[in-house]
Amino acid sequence: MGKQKVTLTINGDQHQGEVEPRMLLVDFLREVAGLKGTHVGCDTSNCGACTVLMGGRSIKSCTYLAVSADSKEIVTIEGLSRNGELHPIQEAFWENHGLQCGYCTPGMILSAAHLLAKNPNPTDAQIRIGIAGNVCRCTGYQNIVNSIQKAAETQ
Amino acid sequence: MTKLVFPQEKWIGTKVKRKEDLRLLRGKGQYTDDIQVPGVLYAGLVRSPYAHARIKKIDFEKVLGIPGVVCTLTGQEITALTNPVPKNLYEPYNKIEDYCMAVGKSRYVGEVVAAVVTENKYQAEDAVELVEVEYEPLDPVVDPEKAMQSSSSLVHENVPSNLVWEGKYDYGDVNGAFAEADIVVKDQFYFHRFTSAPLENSVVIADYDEQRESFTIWSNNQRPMFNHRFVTTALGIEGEKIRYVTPDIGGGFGIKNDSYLYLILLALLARRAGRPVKWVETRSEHMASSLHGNEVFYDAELAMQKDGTITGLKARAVHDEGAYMRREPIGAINFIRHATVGYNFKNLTMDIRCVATNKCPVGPNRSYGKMQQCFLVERLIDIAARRLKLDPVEVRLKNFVKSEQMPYETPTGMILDGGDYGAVLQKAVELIDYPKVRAEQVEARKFGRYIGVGFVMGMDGCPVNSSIQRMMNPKAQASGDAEAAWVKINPDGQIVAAVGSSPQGQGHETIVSQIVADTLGVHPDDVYAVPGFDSTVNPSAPQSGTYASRFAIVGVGAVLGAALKVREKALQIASHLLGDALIDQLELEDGRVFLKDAPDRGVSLEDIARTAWVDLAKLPDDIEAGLFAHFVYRPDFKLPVDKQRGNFSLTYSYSVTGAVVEVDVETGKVKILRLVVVDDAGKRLNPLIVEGQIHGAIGHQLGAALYERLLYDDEGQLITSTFKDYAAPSAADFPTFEVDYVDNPSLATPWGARGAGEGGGSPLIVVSSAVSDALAPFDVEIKSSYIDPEYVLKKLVEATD
Repeated sequence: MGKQKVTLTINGDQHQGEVEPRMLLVDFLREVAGLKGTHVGCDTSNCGACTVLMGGRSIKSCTYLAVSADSKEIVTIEGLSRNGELHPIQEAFWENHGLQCGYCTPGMILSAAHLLAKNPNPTDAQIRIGIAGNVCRCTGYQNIVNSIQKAAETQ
Repeated sequence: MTKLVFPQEKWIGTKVKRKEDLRLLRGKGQYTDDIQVPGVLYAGLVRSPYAHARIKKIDFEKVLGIPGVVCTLTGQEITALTNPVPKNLYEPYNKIEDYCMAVGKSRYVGEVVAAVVTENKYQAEDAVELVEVEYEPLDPVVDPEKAMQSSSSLVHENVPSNLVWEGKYDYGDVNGAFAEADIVVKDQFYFHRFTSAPLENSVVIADYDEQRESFTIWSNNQRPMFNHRFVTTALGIEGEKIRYVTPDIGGGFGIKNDSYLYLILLALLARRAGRPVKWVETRSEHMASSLHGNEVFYDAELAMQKDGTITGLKARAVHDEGAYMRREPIGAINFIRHATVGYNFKNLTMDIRCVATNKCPVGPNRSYGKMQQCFLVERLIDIAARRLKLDPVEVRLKNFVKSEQMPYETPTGMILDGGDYGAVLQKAVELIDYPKVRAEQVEARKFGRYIGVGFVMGMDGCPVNSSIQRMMNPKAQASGDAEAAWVKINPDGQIVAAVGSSPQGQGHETIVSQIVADTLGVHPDDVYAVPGFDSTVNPSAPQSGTYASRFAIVGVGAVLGAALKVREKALQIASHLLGDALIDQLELEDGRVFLKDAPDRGVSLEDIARTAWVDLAKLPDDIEAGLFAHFVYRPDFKLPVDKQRGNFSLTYSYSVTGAVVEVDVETGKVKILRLVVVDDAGKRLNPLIVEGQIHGAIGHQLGAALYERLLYDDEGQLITSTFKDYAAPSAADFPTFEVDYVDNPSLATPWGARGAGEGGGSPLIVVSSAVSDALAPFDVEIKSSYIDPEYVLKKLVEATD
């Protein structure tokens, strides 16, 4: 099948590529745009390691075609910190030991960003449901929930 | 060498925030799949859809017609290219051959049958689909009891039986204990198959340098240097012909300990292709064919006196090992390291049977072989206590080894390294407010609500004394454990440390910095701890890696030893530079050595380092140039006492988990109302990291009890092969848990730390205890480690029938 031209705005920068129509968005981000912070953990959109923001909403980039994302605005984990300063959610994860191996962390933080944008003062239960699409195998989630709670308080 | 003691404890023992987080939080971590190797190719692996089948023919014709295909490989070729990986089994079972691909027949669903190498990863997926393999299905061996019968088909036809390893252990006077016991409880128990399923699947990249005839292997294996002998044996090459790199690893939990077959396979593919080759495991590949946790069927009996004193334990344990003994029977034998958990009974027998079946091999999975033994003992104690109408908490307190008895030698030769088991249990009891929960339980039952409470102990011996290998093979020539580190101060004053571990989220860079900071009198931020592992940079021992909670003992010992050597040398040079001041008159603080009596007379570490490396004429004559030290630490491990006894761990970390649950007897659903863990890891070197480890163990083990199960059907098909079927829990599935500590320093390590982080299974086992308690009015006892609604309802139906 012929390749198609795709243009995405990722973290404010334009990225173009000639890609197979079947190319997944996560592969575009990692292989074409060279942004390795977005990860793959399950291939079935269960684990959320591939979560990015598209137009401000969290989506799972492992089950989204790059061609479908044409002309969309994407934010990946690399776009969250500005001028070397950590985003308040990143800062809260650091302060509260909200990560261990770090593999789920980019997706988890972007889901948290989406959650806090919708609901700036979530309860513990709302946070747990808000990140239910993101699997972490290291932390038992407790410090992730604490981190998001603290980020909400400081935002 | 001076004693391995921290000169000061300013940073050790404090909650230093993790250094590695600054890259991981920004998406700047480097995992193996992130590494860009120029010219890299991709491997796609063809896997068996049958549990047991003869491989008749592998046809690549259709593959060779598509673009991007570079080369192929089959199991048939493997025998000419590699040697089988050595195993620790007795004759004749050491004849079982394990290669990096199925040879002649496939022995589990997902076993690698062929490989195709292509220019890009989408082509690799296409190519795998086009390989035509002709199989002749054989009878699948799925039930380990039936597998031991002579009528069963054989998983490995070159050995006489599927019972591939057997060990009978007998301690004290078991027959006497059972003859004199007031009661004997006897039952069957099942510990289910699950996996800690790290979020990052396995990834391997290999490259072959034809001129040097050497390989570079990048991977997320947890212990490449430990596995090095398997890789070199298989490839038939010398030790120094492989460079290993493990960058950031996205979780391991033991599951990535033994991915060595993929290191071998990718090395072969890279050599054949003449270019670097990468393989990225999919989640389904991971679930079907990486490694599963030990699945055990127990027939067991516990003898007890009327007053609750445990007098003896008898058990027959059948391990469903899967198709190959890749790390086994270590997990099965690990019962020795936890046989009596924290209790003081003397008499026990264990009859261990390891059975080959047509399933994925089992191996290390957070609390390897340990939580299984703790589950058995804890379940039996609860059942016996109920039979005698005794409080299970009182029964445990009565039987615990007391702190004043420490160090305490158990019948299997474990030397318990201090702690106060009773105090830990009592703290959990207080935090749960046990009397109040009991009152609530009575009240709730009036309204048809079934609340239960349980307290169980988990124990984790760590690290591993490799002499345990002599338990499975008396000819094994291994004992002890070791880790290596180096510390140096560069001519510009930069302090650098490297160690042989390959961590997967345990924060070693941070802890290494804390250790060096306290040893050299600097701030942890002044220390650059080399991230990841690279065998051309990091030092290592043949045991190196991050597994078995060993870092707090061997990793710390190695770094501390190297840092102390650098400190000693820095003081010697300073003494000379300060006009032959006496070393014991010197102080090292804030990066500067000075005279205690005259603090303004001093010299900075930077000046000392510059002198040591580049201003060499100023060095004393008898001092070697440079400011660098390498140290290989080995803890004080002994050989086994005899054929069935030995101290195979140094520290015995333990925890008590208390839980309150509610069981819906209509639906069988279990809800955790409260969960409290009280842990004793001894001296917590970084309390932030230790707490994170405890949380993680709770997550895995609670998940295993309620949600996670690897389930095979009667044909040996894995039913739970994706995250859609294998229910890795989310944040919404867990309660908020409470963690507390009782700190009793380990008597076995100079710095008082125990290996932490595996939990010994107590958060898993507590569910069976509390659910049994909730269902006491129905006389239900839970006998499975996996407790889904279906199981609960089945038990209720059995009880009321």
